[in-house]
Amino acid sequence: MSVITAPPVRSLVPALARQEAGRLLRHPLVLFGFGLWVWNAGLAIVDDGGPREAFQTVDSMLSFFPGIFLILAANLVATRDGRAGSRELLTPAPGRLEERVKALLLASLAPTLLGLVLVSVLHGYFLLDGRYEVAPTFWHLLQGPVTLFGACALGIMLAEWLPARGTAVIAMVAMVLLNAWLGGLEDGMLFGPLMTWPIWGVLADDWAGLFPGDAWGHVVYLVGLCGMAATAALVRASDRPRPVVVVGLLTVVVAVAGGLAQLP
Amino acid sequence: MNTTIDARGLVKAYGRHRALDGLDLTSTTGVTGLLGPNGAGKTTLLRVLATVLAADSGDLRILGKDPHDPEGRLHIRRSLGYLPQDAGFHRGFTAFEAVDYVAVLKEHTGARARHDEVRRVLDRVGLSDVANKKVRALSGGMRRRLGLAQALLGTPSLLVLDEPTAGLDPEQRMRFRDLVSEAGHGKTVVLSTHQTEDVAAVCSHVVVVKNGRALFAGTPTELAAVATGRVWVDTDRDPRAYAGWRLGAGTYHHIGDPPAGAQLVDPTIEDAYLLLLGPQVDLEGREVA
Repeated sequence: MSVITAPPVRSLVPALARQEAGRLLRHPLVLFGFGLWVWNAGLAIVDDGGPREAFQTVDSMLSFFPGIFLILAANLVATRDGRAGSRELLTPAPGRLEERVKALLLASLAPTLLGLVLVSVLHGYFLLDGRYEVAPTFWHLLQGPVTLFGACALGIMLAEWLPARGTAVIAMVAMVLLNAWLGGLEDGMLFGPLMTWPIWGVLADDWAGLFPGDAWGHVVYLVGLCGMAATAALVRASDRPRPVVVVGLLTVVVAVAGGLAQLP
Repeated sequence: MNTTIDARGLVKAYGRHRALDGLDLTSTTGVTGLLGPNGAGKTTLLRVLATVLAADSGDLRILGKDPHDPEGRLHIRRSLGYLPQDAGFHRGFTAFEAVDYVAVLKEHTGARARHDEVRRVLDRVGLSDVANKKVRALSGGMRRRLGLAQALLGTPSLLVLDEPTAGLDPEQRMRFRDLVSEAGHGKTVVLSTHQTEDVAAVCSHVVVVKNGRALFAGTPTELAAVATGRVWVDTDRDPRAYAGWRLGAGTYHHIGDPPAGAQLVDPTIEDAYLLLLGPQVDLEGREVA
């Protein structure tokens, strides 16, 4: 009998996640998206647009730049093997599809953390510079980075369920349209992926207060949505889908609870 | 003798077409070459051996394990290197990144040891100099060698190579043969090829496959011996020959039942292979009789 190498005991998910995180952060769409955020943040620093602009720069701009681009970037990273024709080569590797999806989801924390760092730095500057009328809470700061994770999870979920080209682009457009539609409904914006808390005054730099509702409840709602997308992606790739479905149902409960809790 | 692959009566069907039709195969350490025409079932067999496909029926043990059993399959996969016919790599990866990615999926989780291993296999296939080049910038031959590099990761006990020399120039083929011979030392290599010269050069065992069945299994010398006394040359084409072609010197090389007084020559593996495939085809697959 030929010698069989001893089975490694360490999970490959963290190592693969590190690789995928690097690829995700270096993806041109992600660089472009974060570049736009930095550009706009720079403009907000240089041209003082008032407390409303300062607040929404840290609470929601991240969801748009680079959030929207992350949907497509994560989708392209997740569909890479299929597009490259590598599936045949990778199928006999011990690493299972479930582990690859887990690694991608773990890698999605990289842009999330980067977003949190950028927002925190900008927030610190605005605080020191006295730009706020009302300072954002931790929950206001957290919502943008959480939407970045959600964007990645959505892109990965689409890669697992609808791997055809173009679905992620359709999802990007759909998210923008959904947000615009929800913005027109009473309290609807709270259920959208891009929540801007300051209310617009008569003039652009007028401070007219914050949108009624609870920021922590909104973050819990977003976390629930992220969990739903992540478990939907995982359940497709999992060898044992039942536990994943149970977790998925729990994330639905979290989303519903957060959705109700955020309402004024 | 150590049996790495023991396959009995393997059947794999795609609809009504039986790609494997009761195929038997036994393979031990060394290099086993699969010879056969297009559509013979070689690729299907290799995909089954690489655990990409499951056979519909038949008994199969690889490295002593049953690939139908999830734990057995994982055990096999941890000891396997596989080069498919179309080994695609993401074009935006560098050669190093492409192999490093596969290395992680092969459970090489420690970064330093993994990178050393990636550098080792790239060096073995002669791609160290282009390790930082994008896959899109590599030639077809280099990509083929990149495919072999990922298959060599971890020095697998079983290497499954589907037409590894396809598309390579003669120099690259020589290098490939050297690599495969080396890989087969103390390990098991199963490769498919259309090149009978590859079989003669590197294989210790050869299996001729046609219509999903093994027509012959033995050593290359034994294969060539199948055609002993059935190969001759003549100044004119002999229409009774199973196969025949014009040689550069102007004479005709024939395979089949020689006429009385024919000038017999020593058979090659190619002669025996064509003889086994039957009387209807020549080297280009055209009917000759």
